[in-house]
Amino acid sequence: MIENNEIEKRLASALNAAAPDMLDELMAELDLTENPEPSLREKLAGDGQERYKKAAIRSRSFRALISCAAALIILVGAAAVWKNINDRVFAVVDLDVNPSIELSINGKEKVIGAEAVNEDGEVILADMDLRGSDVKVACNAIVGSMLTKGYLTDKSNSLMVSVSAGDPEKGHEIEQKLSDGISSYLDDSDITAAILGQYVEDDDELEDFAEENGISLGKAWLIRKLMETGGQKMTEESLLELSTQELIVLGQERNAEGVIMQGTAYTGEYIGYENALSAALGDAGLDSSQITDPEVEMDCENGAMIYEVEFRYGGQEYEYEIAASTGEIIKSEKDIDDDRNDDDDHDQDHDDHDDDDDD
Amino acid sequence: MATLQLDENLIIRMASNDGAAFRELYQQTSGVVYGFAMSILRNKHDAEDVMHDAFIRIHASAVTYKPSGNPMAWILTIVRNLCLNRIRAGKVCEELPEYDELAGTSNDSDTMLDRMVLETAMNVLDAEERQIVILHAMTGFKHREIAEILDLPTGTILSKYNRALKKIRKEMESKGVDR
Repeated sequence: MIENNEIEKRLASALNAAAPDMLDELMAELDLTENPEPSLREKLAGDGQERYKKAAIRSRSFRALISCAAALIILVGAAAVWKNINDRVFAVVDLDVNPSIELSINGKEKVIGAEAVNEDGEVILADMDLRGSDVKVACNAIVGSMLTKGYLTDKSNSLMVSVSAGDPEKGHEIEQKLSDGISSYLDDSDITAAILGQYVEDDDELEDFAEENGISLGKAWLIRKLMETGGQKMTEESLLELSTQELIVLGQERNAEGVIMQGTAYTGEYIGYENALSAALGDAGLDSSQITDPEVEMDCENGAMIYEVEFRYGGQEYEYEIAASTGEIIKSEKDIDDDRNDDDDHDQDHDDHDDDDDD
Repeated sequence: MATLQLDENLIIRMASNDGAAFRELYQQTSGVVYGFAMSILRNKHDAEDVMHDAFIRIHASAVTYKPSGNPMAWILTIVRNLCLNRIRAGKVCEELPEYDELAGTSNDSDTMLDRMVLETAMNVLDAEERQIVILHAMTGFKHREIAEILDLPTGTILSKYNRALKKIRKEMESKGVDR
């Protein structure tokens, strides 16, 4: 008989043999060397003194130049000067909780501009000078301030990290890195946070939409992606009325394309799919064993979160809208089921009431 | 079975970008990280992706690591979360993995038998059983420690562990491996 011990030993040995070797690749990606680079201070004390001294001086005056330039921009809006002394905007990072903040970063992932997209964003940025800092550090600082100012709580636990960049691959990479960084930063806090990460394919239409409605590009993009999920009641206007938390919940529940969730957005405010179905069944005087094809989706209508419930019974198609937070029945409809032999999406606009079996 | 002991200082050293510490941590944990990801995802390609992301995450999170006396559990929690995120995001391949590829090219009888045990475990065990047996096999953790990582009661771990090994043994015996 083959012993437990041997089974385990063989399992471990097979898996160890199957594990790929990605050490070199990881070290390169993380920019790690076996002998860590000596710090500037150590270099100054060492041999190549002159060279590093110069570098230090240059970087100091460079920094002074940047703060002068920043002042200039505020005073006269001399964007050209800014461009000359700094890299071009390489990527734009949006952080949305309720405060929305947009960071422009250069190719070295340093912040070259920070802008509040709404009033709450101004509150967060008021006492912060993020220019020149590493974008990851900047994001953690912003999130930290959102936490202490009470914008992130157990019930409103979600934030959105959106990145747009000329280079999609690099953009995805930055998004992933920032989401991971914020996630581990929040691991130390008292709340269980959820992060929605997305890469934004910026275009003029999207920029106009964001600007007209005073929202970040990231929020505009999520609204576009939510519209593509085909919610029956969803409109752009109604999505615009939702809070960031509600938009993230919808992104999560409707599995919007390109949305990557870390953690789970809090949905305890809502009655849940099963209760929504029960509420509809209760109203119809049916129980779950009698019906077929039940479908429950989270949706939004007139700026409120709803469950869209559908099922079939006795040759009829039932449709309900249930308020997601109270379970109240907002609307109910019963129609002859003209879709009985059709596996496709259930189109609510059917008005030809023939229930024969043509295709 | 020897318990996989990991020096907490490695993580602390990693926080200051110490490449040697990263190498050492990788060498001690890469097999377990991969094996645990395989046990959850049951797919070679996804497990490789998670392994890659896990080491990036471990490196990034080293700064916030709070010494707890069980760094391996910390690492395995990172791996588990990455796997679960992946499943939740619907990114996991549903196809059955190619077990032939699993154990490399060597064809000696010992390796073949290793591969056969792995293949059997992957085929006859359910997800929780796979995780329990593989964690036990690769880390030597106590059932209580595995219970904490998997967020399951210790009793469940014990009974599932025993049932899982019985299943593997039975299947192996039916394939004529009986010794």
